[in-house]
Amino acid sequence: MKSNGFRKFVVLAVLACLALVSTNVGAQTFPAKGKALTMLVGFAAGGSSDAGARILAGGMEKVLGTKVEVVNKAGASGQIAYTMIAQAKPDGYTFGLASLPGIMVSIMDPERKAAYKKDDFQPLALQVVDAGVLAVRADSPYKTVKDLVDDAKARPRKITVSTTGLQTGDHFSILQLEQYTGTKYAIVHFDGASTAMTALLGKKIDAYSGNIGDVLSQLKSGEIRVLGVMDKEESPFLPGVKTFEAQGIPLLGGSWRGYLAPAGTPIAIANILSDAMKKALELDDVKASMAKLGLQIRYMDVAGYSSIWNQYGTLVKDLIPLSRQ
Amino acid sequence: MRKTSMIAGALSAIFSIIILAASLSMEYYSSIGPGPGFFTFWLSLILGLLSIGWIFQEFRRKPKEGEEKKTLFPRGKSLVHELEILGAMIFMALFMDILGFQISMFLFLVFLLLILGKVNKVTTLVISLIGSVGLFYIFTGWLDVQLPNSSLAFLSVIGF
Amino acid sequence: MDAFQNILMGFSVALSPANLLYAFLGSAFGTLIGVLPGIGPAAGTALLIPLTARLPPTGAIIMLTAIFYGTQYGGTITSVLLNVPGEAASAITCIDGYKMAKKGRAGSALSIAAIGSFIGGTFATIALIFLAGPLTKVALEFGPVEFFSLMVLGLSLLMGLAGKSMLKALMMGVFGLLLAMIGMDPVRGSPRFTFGRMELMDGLNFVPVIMGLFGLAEILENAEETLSNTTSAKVGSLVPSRQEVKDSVGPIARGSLLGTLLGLIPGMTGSMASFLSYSMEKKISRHPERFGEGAIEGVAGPETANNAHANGALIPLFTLGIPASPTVAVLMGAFLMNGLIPGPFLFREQPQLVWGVIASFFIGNIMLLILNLPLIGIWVKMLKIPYTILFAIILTFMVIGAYGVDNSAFDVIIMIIFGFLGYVLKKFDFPIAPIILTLILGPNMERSLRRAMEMSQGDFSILFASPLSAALLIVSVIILITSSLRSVATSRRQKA
Repeated sequence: MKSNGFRKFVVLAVLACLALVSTNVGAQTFPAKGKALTMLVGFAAGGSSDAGARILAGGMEKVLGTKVEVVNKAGASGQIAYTMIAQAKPDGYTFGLASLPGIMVSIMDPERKAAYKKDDFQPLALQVVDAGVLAVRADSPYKTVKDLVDDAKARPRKITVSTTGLQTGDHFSILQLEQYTGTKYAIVHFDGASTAMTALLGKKIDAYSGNIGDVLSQLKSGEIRVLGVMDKEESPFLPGVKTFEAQGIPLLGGSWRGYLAPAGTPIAIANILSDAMKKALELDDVKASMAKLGLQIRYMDVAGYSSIWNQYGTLVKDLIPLSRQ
Repeated sequence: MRKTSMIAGALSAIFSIIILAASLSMEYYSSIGPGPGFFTFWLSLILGLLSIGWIFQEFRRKPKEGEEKKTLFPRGKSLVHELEILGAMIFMALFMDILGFQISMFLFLVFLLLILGKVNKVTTLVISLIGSVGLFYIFTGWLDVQLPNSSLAFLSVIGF
Repeated sequence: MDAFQNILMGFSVALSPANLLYAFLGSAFGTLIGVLPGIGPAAGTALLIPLTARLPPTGAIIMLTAIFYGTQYGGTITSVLLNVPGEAASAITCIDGYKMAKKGRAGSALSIAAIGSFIGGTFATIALIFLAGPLTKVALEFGPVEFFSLMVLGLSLLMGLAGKSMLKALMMGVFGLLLAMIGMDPVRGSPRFTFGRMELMDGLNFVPVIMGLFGLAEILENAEETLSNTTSAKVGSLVPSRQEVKDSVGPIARGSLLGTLLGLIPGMTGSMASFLSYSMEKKISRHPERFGEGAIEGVAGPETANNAHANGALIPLFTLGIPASPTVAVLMGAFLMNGLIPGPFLFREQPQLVWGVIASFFIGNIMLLILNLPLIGIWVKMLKIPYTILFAIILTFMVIGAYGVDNSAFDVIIMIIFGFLGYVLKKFDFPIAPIILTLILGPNMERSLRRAMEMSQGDFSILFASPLSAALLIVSVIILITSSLRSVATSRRQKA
């Protein structure tokens, strides 16, 4: 009968060892063999943000030799997932997709009541710049950005422009356009690219503010015309479309999609993840898949993305109160 | 049931008043259209009026045969059954993330089958194992649906 | 090349052994996904995309579209047999379908649902082939203004769902609208009634709510007796009676038309289509009191509309390159991953693929019918499981289903709350259907109105500026007036 006490001891010892094992993670062996990485994506499966993330996850699996699981936690424009990233264990096994300006707006706008701050995150890498565009129907009288702006000056708040959501990158682009040119538009917020594009094609709204990926299909079928792209360079996906800068308006807009880990993740591990992403983006099939979706690869490492991350707030600070009018 | 209905109507009216009060703190009308508080205000007002209407309706009608004997919730064993089901569901909601799907679902099924369903022990065990561990592997392994692992490290390490 | 020649070419592609296999696999998977809780059509389609990566583009698209419209079939099964909606659009089928199952007409309900779905899907596909152009123009006519008016029309049909007490139905309708207000408001994007919970920022998740109101409430009610005394729904004949078939013809025809039209409009979901079909059938019916007690029309119409919607939603993808619903958006992602940009030019660039896929819609719908009809016998056998075990299985699936929507235990709590609420509401004789109708239509209505105001910068006359919108609003008012008059007359007659 003495075996009862002994048995208890053995069980406790085994449990203690398991507990120790599960908490021991060293940067030297990151990622540990067989332990999967979790990539949190705050957007619905099948959308362009999610698609880009999954392509990267696939590439990272090849580079690192471990499974990278994409977990979708859509909702509240990504806020739910962002909260989870900020609160995850900072051991490098959990990180997630972040979309600028969206995430910065949720941090800075008190009405969004975000449960995280800028410093709750460790930036890892930038993946995609999905530049903003302004598009009109093919039969529209506007041939250049100037045509649209001139008409807006003549008829303030009469030209309807769609966005894919309140306080999205497209919304902020139009607010910036208003600031730079001193014009005012009737801004109409839809929920997503398809309802907004339908409204454009159905002649319900005059102009469409969105990302490159949104307009590829209709551009190809000749139903729309892109007036300008809001990037430093012209886009390979939009031949012949000038930048806004080239048309006299220094407007840069769109979604910048990168990855964040929770603050406190050791820099050595952050660099390993970032480097894996870089290598993944250099793989041929990753490059090809991204191109098919109209996603422009722009990689920045931990240092580069961190500096963008820290400065982005000043870019949107003034626009937030404007977006609430 | 008439009295119970009238009490329910009163609760509904109180609910409407609370919502109405909350609406007042929201913007009623924005620069170009109804604000967030607009519809909530009118809808809660209408609900409140309808609730009062319901109270009156119950007050003025004649009770149906045998109605005065009926209670809202059943008594005795039936009530216990219902509470057991609700309790089990609440257990799942609260503990699924802590204990992990497999363990909590196993306990859940054992409880429901053995205690509530009065099913024999062998069948209970088989169904509970399939329903917990089996379903876990089917959903997470084949179907890529995420079911929670335990948040307690020592459990998740051994696969739960 | 005229349409017939194209379709013949399409069939030659679709009937190849490989493509037939893909269509079959897709249909089977789709049905399975529809039956299983926790995986909605969007998620299910998304998770199978990687599998199709290794297939040739035509095969991949065939399989994925088959999964897509296949899920509509599966969702019906759990609604009818267990009163648990397999997915959102099948929720309305619970109301009359489950009642039919209780009366031993489960086989009949499932058969009619399968046949109706087949007819609806085929109708939408024919519409795609011959009427794609004009139908797309119709779809484009629906902007925020027309959407709002359409929602108002939908709500006016609510009066028809009233049943015995107009007062109680109105209370439920208003309550549903208030529930629809939970989440980020469309004006400011600030949280409204979220109690600080992030999970509510996007509003209540529809599936846990209806699982609670229907499934859990039902189980709680059954728990009042000893569980071994509850019989599972009876297994009657599997074949519909002649009367049932006769009664279904109208609803199926109307459901096909309604579903296809609504599928065309981006933003219109399958749930809206099935609910509007239900409301319409009840309004038109000569015996509206049969609804809610096991009227076959309440199954035939919505299920047909559901499937017609799923197939109809594919039309804008081909003609405009626009996905009309989140699930179709996932499909679109699949197109893009295969290097194909969907849109009208695809007809010129890849006619074989496009027409092959379209032809496979016919084949897929036939396969689903062939797959599902015999299976009905097997599904219905499930009812023979003693309720003492069945109830636990149902609860398990409900937990997984509620959790799986957003990978959150919070949704399980929502389901429990609404289960309790549904149970209590039944005790007081409140109809549940109005809550669901307003919960579905409410958010869209508020958002559309907001957009209309943004377009007109505050001018309400925009709602009447468009003839379509004005017409919809006028019809709504007419329906409201006639419904009120009818209910006043009925209550007068009752008092007399």
